[in-house]
Amino acid sequence: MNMNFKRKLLIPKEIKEMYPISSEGALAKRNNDEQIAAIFTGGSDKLLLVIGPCSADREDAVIEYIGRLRTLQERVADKIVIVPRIYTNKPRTTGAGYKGMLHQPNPQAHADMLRGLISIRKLHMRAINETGFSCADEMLYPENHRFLDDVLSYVAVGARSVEDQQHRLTASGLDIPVGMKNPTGGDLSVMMNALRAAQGAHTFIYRNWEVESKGNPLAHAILRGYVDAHGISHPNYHYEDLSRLCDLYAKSDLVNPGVIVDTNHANSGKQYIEQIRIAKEILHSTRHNAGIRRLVKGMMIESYLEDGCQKPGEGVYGRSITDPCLGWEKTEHLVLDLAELWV
Amino acid sequence: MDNLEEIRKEIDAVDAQMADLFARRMEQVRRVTAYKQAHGLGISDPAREDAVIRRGASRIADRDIREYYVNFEKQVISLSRDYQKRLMSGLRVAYSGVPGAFAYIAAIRMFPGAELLAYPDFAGAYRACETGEADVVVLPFENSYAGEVSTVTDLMFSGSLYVNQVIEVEAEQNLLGLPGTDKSQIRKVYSHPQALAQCAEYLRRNNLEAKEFSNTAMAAKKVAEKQDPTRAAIGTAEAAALYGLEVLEPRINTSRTNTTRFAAFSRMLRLDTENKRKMGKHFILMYTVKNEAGALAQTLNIIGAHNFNMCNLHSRPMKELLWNYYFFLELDGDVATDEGDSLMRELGPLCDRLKLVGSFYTH
Repeated sequence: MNMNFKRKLLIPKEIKEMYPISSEGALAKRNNDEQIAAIFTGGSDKLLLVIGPCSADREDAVIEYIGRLRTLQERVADKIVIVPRIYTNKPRTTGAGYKGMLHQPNPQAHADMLRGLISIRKLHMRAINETGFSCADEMLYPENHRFLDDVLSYVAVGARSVEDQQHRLTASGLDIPVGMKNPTGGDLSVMMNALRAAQGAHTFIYRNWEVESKGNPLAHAILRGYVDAHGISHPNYHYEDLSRLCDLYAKSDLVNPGVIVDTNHANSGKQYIEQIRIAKEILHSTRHNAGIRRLVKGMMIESYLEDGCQKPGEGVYGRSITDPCLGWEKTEHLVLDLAELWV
Repeated sequence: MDNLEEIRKEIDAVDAQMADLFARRMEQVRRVTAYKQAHGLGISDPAREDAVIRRGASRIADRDIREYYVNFEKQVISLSRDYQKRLMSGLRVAYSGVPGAFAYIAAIRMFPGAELLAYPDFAGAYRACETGEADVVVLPFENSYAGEVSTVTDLMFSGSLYVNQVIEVEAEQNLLGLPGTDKSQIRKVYSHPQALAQCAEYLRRNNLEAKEFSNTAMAAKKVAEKQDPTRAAIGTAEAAALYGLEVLEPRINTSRTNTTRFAAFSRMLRLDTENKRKMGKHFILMYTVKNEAGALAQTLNIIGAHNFNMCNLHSRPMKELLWNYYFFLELDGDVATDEGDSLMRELGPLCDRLKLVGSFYTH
């Protein structure tokens, strides 16, 4: 091994004591969890929007953004449940580039994992304590979920992680909805297998403990488009794709069939503006097929304060430093439109 | 030609306005003094005075008038210092030692005009402030030669007071004798062993015999009592004034680096910041960690993660617990910031006991 064991990091209990959830925050999370779970179990007919920046690059801008979502949530409360995205760790295809706040609490400085662990906890804690939102994050490193388990209401397993055993087993031990994305190559059977694993009970090693999980009935699919052998993006949000997923669910023994459609990534070919059209088209599909209407639970939208994206060094407040996002004005319009169109 | 009467009327009107403004300014000075008293801060604040004068100068466009205005501002500041001194004359400042010793000098430098209360030892002076017998206590906590003053460090940890101001006092040693004495008459010199050591070269050169005393002020007192012109003491100019001696020769110490840091302790911690200050700030933390591998390293990692530079770290035994230690840290930076807040929050769960002992400007 050529690893230099630099220093022992803090354990989740210690970091939670530094930045604890308030009693109001804990109550808010319980309410949020119930509302969100009801959407997946069929008890609620509301549309779930997992929405926010591609990466949470700085605390101040993210907190401002989520504060605005709070006002917007109140306006659409009868139709929509919002779960803000606070994505603190980013998978990088080649390992190079910005890996999220967990690695780089300062995007322009070197990696500092201790500061990173504390920073992501602090950001999620501020979000719940100040806005009442328990948020969504990507479960890129399953072991790290323990640092945030009391503040998260939703996690996604990314296209690159969905085939990984530890991700599937950890998902089976969570009580919150876990969205499992189709892999980058688009093979839906990989995703369906991941869902079977996540909904089942397992015994495995987690954080150096032998643990038993009960299975997670809230594990569900995320369609994010795919890239073919020639590097060309293909969408999978169309009517036919959704209909095919209905069939796959029907043939499986999975509970709570459901899909969240990711409107960006390979579905938009990262043309962030297209997210508006794609979101509306999905709602259109739900109006033509009762099965699809029951299957579609919500969408995942990449949005921030400013349109587009920038390089980490450019320093525009509230503009994504990873994938391009919809700016606030367009986001607000879109969410209000979706509330109108969702029947 | 203007009418002299009218011009004078205008001057009277301006004076009336200035009188009103002056009264308002002095009222604010009174409030500043109340604040400084509560937090154990001294009157003189050169950085603030400098800023006031510089800002004042920039308000006047006419170069000639600007020069007069700067003088005017200096006068105003000096009057405000006088007023503060008078207001603070009720302030009771405890110190340990006898009049003329370095602790006494530090106390009058920080709190001119205050009532000074002498106590025989550090703990007595410290308790006097804790119980309210004194408003402030001035104690040495570090010497550039000898290092920490361990008794005071222990008081910082176990006691309830906070440090809001620190000054450095250089040990300047003078030859003190009876008034009118000729230096060549001196045969024997009294002083504290450390002072004698610092002046060893002078003593050798002048062929003087040394006699040790428990402190420099006592030595000066002895010379004054003996009334023997062949005897002299080594000590401070303040001690000379106090015991009716004369400085026969100033600064006879050869080593010039012996400096002691004195802290003013009071019952309140001062954590507000003055934004425009360019001066450095330090703060002192004391804590204990769990007795397990890596516990101290974790706290240091947190400090490093917040970019606070550590000036000093040492451990002291916790007397009531055998072979257990607490840590004293002096850090470079301002704890009254978001970064400082986060630091304190994050250290909390990692420490068994954690105390922010003080935060102060460095000179």
